[in-house]
Amino acid sequence: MRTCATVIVAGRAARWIAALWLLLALAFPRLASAQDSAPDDDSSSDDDQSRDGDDDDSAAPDSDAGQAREDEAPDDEPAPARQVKAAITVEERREPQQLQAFRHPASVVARDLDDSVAPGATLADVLAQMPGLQLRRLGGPGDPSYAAIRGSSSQQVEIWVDGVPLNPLGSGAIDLSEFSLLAFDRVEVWRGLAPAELGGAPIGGIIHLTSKPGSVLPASIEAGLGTWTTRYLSARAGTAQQLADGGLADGRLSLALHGTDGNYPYFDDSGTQVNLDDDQWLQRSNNAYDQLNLSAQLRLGRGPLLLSLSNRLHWHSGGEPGPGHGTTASAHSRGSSNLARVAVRAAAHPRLRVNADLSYLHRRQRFSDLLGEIVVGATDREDRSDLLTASAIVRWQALPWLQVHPSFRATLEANERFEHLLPLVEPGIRMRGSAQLALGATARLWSKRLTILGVLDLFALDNRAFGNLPFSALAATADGEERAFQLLPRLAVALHPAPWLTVRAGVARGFRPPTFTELFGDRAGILGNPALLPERADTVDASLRVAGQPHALFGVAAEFGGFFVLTDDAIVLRHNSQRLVVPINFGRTRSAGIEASASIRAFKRLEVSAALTWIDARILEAEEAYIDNKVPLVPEWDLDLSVRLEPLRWLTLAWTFSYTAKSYDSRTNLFAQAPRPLHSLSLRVDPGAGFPWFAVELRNVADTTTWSRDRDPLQPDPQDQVLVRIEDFRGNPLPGRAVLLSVGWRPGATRTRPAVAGAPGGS
Amino acid sequence: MTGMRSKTLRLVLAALACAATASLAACTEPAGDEGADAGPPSARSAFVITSDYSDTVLARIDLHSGEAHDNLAAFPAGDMTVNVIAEALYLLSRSSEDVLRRYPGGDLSAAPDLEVSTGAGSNPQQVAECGGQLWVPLYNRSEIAVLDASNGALLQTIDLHSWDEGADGSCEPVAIVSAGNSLYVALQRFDLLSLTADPVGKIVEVDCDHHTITQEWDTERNPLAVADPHRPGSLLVTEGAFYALDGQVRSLDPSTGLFSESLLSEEQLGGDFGAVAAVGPHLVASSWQFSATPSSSALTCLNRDTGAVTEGPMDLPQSLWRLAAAPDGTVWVTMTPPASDPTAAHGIMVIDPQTCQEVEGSGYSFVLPPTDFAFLDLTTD
Repeated sequence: MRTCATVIVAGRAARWIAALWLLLALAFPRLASAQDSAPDDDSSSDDDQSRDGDDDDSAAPDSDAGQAREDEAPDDEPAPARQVKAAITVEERREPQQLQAFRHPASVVARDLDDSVAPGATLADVLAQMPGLQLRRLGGPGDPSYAAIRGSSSQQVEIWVDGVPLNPLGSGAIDLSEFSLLAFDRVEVWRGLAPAELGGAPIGGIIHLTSKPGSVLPASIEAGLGTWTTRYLSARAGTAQQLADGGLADGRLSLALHGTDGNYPYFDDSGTQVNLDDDQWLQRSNNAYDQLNLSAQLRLGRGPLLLSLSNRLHWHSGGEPGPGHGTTASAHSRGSSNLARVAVRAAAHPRLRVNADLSYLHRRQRFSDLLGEIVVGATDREDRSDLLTASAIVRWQALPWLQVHPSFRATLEANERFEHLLPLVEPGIRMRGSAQLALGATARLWSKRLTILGVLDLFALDNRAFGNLPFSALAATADGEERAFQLLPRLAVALHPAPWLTVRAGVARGFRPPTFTELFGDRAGILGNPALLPERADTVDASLRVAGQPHALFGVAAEFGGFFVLTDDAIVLRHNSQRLVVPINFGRTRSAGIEASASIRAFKRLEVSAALTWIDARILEAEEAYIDNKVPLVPEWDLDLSVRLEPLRWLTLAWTFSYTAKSYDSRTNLFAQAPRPLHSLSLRVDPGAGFPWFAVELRNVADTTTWSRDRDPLQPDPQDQVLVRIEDFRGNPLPGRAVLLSVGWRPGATRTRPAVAGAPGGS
Repeated sequence: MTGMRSKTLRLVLAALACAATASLAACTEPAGDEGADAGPPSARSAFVITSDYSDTVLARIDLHSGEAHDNLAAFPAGDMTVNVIAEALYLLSRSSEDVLRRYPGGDLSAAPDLEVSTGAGSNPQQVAECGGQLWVPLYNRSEIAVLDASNGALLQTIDLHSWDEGADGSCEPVAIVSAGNSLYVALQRFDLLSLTADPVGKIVEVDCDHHTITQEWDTERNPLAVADPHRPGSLLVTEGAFYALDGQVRSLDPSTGLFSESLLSEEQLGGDFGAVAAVGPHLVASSWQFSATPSSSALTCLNRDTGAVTEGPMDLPQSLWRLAAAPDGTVWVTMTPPASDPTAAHGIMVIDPQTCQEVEGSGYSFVLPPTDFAFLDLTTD
């Protein structure tokens, strides 16, 4: 935390951005006057879109893709009244939502979590189809999975739920398997540059799950059963009521139970590459898990005020199979989390809206390895963490072409560790406070053909309550390192020369302080390193988007872009001889790449989409052995294709294909992880309102679980190949072919059809 | 026309000549000293395990020329050791892979002629040959695996559970020394669940013919054993708990069952023992000053004939985990960067045991830090 002690204001990038900012500020008046006199040949369509889009009173008002809609024009209509309209027009508003993402200056891809998503799909499955994302899984259904964006680490990706950050400032990687898609309506991925309202300054980006409690959510219940006794049962219902006094009340409730035995077969060579006599197929043992997700949302609106209450509960328990070719018998983990949120939105003035948000996240995670099957020594440890977040966001339409959105967010993180086998020797609660003051502005100029988004974030960290070093009476924070400040500018520009075309570019600075685990260890497999420096990164990206509907039966959307990310002091885990890892600062890495995506929808029955990502992520500064090597776990190529066909109104067929090129699982770049082509098929029969639907999903159709590679990468020889299993993390095999059968019922509901011309990468 | 044809012919011939030259050039062996092209080992070599504890790469040093050949072979394992037995190189992949591999003549360009798993989670530590069989102590299993040296087939396991301590189900056999028809196995008796060492360690003697335990001796905590060249048939035994200045080095004579007086103590060195190596009467020990800030390492030498103790290189940031006597009478020491300073210089330091100083102009460096080494001599016949 040494550099935390210094105010980092200067820097070449910051100076450039400041200069550009000044120039733009000087140019604004002129552009604004030009706007007044410019021919407004597409303004009508813009306005229509903005009005349509503005009716989305998502539970996440901070969502910028949604926010962009609200930015268009302050509405005179009271929120509750709009909400009733919104409740009725679920179908109608999707397209403007996609189009607003299409016009946004930041790099965002989004997908509606509707019927186009396979019933048994997980969040990781959905994200894997998006350009620029890399998914890393420890195993099959229910096993932890993590997302990376543009070659980042998982810690550098922030996960937000309805405007609430679960890991602000990258305080730990969030396991994607914890989420049930049923509780959400949409997932947005902000690559690199985060919008002002989301407040974070992540290095990788933000994954934002949002729900819309205002919609009349059709009651539904569904269940599934598949290979390895993978099962789920979920139900949800919602209602929206106009109150007698003119107010509005709506609510939503969802429940999901997931589980699996997880005993999928995997190839085991017993550690011997050449000796084939001991090769065998084993069942992944001690890999069963169960999970519960329960969420409730309630919203009350009257006049200019809108009050939202929500609570999300998560619980899971399961075995820990561990890495390596051995098996475990008793190691297991269980955890729970609860996220409670209160939000108030006030339309104080037709041109002024205020969002205030208070949330509290409590997490518990217990890991028991009483036989030392996974880590060295017996352990039964429990982490308890609390996160209190308060934020206020003001949205002020200062001028017809200028919206200003100052925001403030304060977070208090607390972490406490218990070892149930040994007396507690660590200090009690460690705490860290942070505050973020952001000033953002969005200018729409030249008849809204030009959008400029600028944000200046000031982060303050307070480390005074870190406590002592583990097993020591020494303070964890040295004198002069108790507080840290970071100034993080972001700027994005979008040009819309034609309604079907957007050209955008952005620059951003990201920042991530070390997590509690990285600083102080986890009393198990990770040794702490209190001397860690925060990670810092600069991102530049640009893209070109095309979207249109040349014919009523034909729609197309595409995006092509590139990015460049330079990261300093990246934190990586360094192994030692005791099966322990120590987080260290890596030096410098850079990641450059291309993202391309396209989707075509024709005849209202066929949708074809593709996403391609190419990344070259390299280590620039580190130990000499690793310089110019590729950053581990970042595949060079990632291709996703999907075809969705509705030959009959009640029948949907889908095929998805993903190809992930090989990557390296360590910094030496010696041993590659398997390139993997995976095919999946699904069929859905949905007779319509009031009738049960039925779906079959076949994953990894070709049962791809092994591949051949050079026995010794230092002596490549096509005649000297060995068979190894496919895995993301060394020692954690991935499963093969699986079938999932699902049935569901939505009494009296119409189907929620996917969007026609979605944002690139989306459905 | 004739002129044109002639010109064309010349061009074709020139192109063919260029192609032939290029082909010949391509067939020439590169002059580089890395990779499998380094060719078979010379008569006397040192094989070095280099690793970042994620992957392992083998290197070789030609002891005649002093030339180092890096990047000979790679393994997806992070905890490997190397042994030499009867002109063959044995690589043990310890925790997480649990595999023994053998390379006859140290030829790493081909696949091993023996590759066998010692069992998932068994954590093999060392390998020794005795009675024509291979003996592998399994740290996590309280067993010694006895393998057929010809094909690696498991012949028998020697049960050591009688010496188990704690609840982890193992007495942690950690080192094995072959002497004549006997094997001596150090039992660490470290409870892997509570991470504490039993106050009593053990050395047991195994009869290679009858596969039985014939003698045992008590030691202090965490014993390690190597052959004592100064007293043939004896063992140098290092003892002591981690993070405590309670350890010592003694010599055990199995024929009498008597330990010598303490040769060196951790109290003398001011740190935990790392490893010891002996050359004739000279003893070289590495120590780790764990209480220093930052922690550091040092080398100390003892002349057992005179009793003189000489300080060697001090305050080294690297860890010095492996020491062994080289055929030329020097002592080689691995220098591994500590976790707190991964960019610290790493390599092998060569020490003159008489002066306890680094031999001038010596030392070897590799792409990855060295963690173990062994000497192979193919000239004995």
